[in-house]
Amino acid sequence: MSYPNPAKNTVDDFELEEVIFTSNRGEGTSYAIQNIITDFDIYEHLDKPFLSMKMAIVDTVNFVQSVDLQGGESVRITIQSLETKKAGEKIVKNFIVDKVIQSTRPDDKTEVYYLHCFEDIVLTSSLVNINRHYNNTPAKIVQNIINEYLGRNVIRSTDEYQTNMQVIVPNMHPIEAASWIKNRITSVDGFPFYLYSTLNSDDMYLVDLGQLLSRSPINKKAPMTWIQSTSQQHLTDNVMPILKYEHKHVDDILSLIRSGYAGASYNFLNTLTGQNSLCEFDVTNDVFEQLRDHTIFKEQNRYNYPSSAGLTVTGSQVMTKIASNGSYKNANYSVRTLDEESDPIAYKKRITGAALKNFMSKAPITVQVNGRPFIAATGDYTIGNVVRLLFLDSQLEQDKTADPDYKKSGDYLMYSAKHSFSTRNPNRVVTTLLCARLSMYSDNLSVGDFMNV
Amino acid sequence: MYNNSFYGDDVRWFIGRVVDNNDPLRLGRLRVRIYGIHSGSTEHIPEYALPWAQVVVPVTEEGSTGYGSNPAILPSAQVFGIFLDGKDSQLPLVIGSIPKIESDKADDDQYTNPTDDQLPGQSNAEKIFLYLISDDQHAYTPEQACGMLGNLKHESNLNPLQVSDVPGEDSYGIAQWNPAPGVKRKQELIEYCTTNGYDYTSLFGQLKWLKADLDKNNFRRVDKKLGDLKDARTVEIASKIFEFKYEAPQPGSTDVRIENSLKYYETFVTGTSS
Repeated sequence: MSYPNPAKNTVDDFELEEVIFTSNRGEGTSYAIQNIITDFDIYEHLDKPFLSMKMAIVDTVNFVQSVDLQGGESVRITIQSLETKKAGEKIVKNFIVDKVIQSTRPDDKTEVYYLHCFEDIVLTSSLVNINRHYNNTPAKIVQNIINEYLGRNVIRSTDEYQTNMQVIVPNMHPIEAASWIKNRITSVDGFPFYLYSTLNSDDMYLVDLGQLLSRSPINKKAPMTWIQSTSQQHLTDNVMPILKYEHKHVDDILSLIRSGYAGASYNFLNTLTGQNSLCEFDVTNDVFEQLRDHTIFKEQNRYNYPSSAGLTVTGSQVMTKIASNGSYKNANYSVRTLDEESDPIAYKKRITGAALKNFMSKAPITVQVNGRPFIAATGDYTIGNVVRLLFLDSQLEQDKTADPDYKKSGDYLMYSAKHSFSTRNPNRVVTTLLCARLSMYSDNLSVGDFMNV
Repeated sequence: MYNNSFYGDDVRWFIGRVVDNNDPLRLGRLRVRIYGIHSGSTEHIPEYALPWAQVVVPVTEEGSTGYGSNPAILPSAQVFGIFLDGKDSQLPLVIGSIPKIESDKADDDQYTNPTDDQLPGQSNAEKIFLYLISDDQHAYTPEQACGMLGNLKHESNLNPLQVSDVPGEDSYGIAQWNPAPGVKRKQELIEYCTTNGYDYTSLFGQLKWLKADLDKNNFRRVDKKLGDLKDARTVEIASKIFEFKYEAPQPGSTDVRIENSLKYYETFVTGTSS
């Protein structure tokens, strides 16, 4: 991954090759509108199996009136990054207009329309109701729903812990149903699964957090770096500058405790047997210590949690759920239902999954960087990958390279991304990344050591 | 996922229609097709895929193992209940029944195929009864027809699309014709219907095949002591012959089949059934 220096760069970051707007009114006429688009943002998120987009149309020719924009129109957008132009690789995405967010009139001859769009599968999904039964593993049910109703290929982790379940989808659209089932999946180690789409691929991904966090940082030797001090500017030669960052509303430990993700007693009641499966949950012993030898904690081994502070009191929260009434228990065979498990260990996997997912949001950081590396159509470089961030500590000494600020520095999972494209000469793309992690590096590494971990 | 710390805070109520009270665990559970949650399509949600709902019994029943009586709700009853898991709607619990004005259509008319409109009768039960006593191919007596009907009720709830809920068995249709390699009854149904231009998923096609099959004396078990179905004089004998020679099920359901048959006899012949 090479980084262009935006300050010195005068050439376009990308080429907006084509934006085709197709109205669903009348005969379905198509229009090439790339010349009247000034800005557009494309959003990706690990919790959403579709992309969304906001775009600004500068209308000086009564375009919106003439096409009678009503919502539901399709917008096909073709982008080419400079890195992949020679190879001819392009990003082509199909969206539908969800709504007009706002229209403003800066002068008598111009109207600016801000449109909100979803990837086309959202409309496809919204037009289908699923009310049918499934009997399979939850990951295969999700895959079947996506394949059958949305026509997308699903690339998934095979490390699924859960066995077959029988379920009747109670009137949901396919994306809603797939997400509903997906929330019941964990890996063998208890990592939750994510179902997401990316900018650079037409596939959908169903991957567990353990697999995502185990990935090597895509910028291992050249971290995204925040540098303000002029004495440290020499570092910028090998790194990607962070243009802006935001680190707020983090380390909200109380909400994690109150939600039962730090320590709680979980009861899973089966009304057919009248028995209760009790799971005493303690995130330190049941999650972090259990995963101590996992790849994700091999280098970055300081948990993002004050484990010795006495905050994990198992009885401090009591959660009780009816997990089964033997809906699918017959005389000679039975199939588990949506929230039913065979034993307390299996229930604990689910709690672990939910806890890990929530601990991921404990200390996120938002960074803004040049977006060119992320729009290369040759591979997936955006959400679901790990990036390395470097912040220098505030105790700067004269003529000495500062140490990393380990509270913010480290390897993070890209959880969501906003790619802001601007077609004002030259064409620019800036990416805003929401990054999350479960652990930090130890605090005795120098900047040089950090780049070589 | 665990935001609701107490299950009682998340309740969803429902009204449904009982389709099966033959609980294999003998706990009085019911299979209920719940309005608005379980589509009427037996293709997407076959009856065997409906969850078993536990039933609340009055506090005047003991409620402990071996004591008290089981609920007596019958198929076609309209029931009220709640989902124990709220909006996930996988764990139904029946609280009571809601009496309703019974229509002419009975409990077995969930599925209709356009080709079945040519059969006289309102409900599937009535269509089957009237066809069996008709002169098409061979006319059976009302006693014999009811003996068969009671069996078919037990096998499939008179649903032509019914697939066996025994894993891997895949028996099909109103008589649960078994497709196993050594038996191939379902294949015979399909071949007959295909050859004669009938839809094998329709009640009409399956009744045509049933009579043709019986006329060939194509019984699964030969039992000379039981005699011929066509010679049976009473509902009970006809029910037993059809059960033991044609259906040949696992033992244990004879009484239920006879009870069904007698009920149909009262409905269609003597007119004493409610």
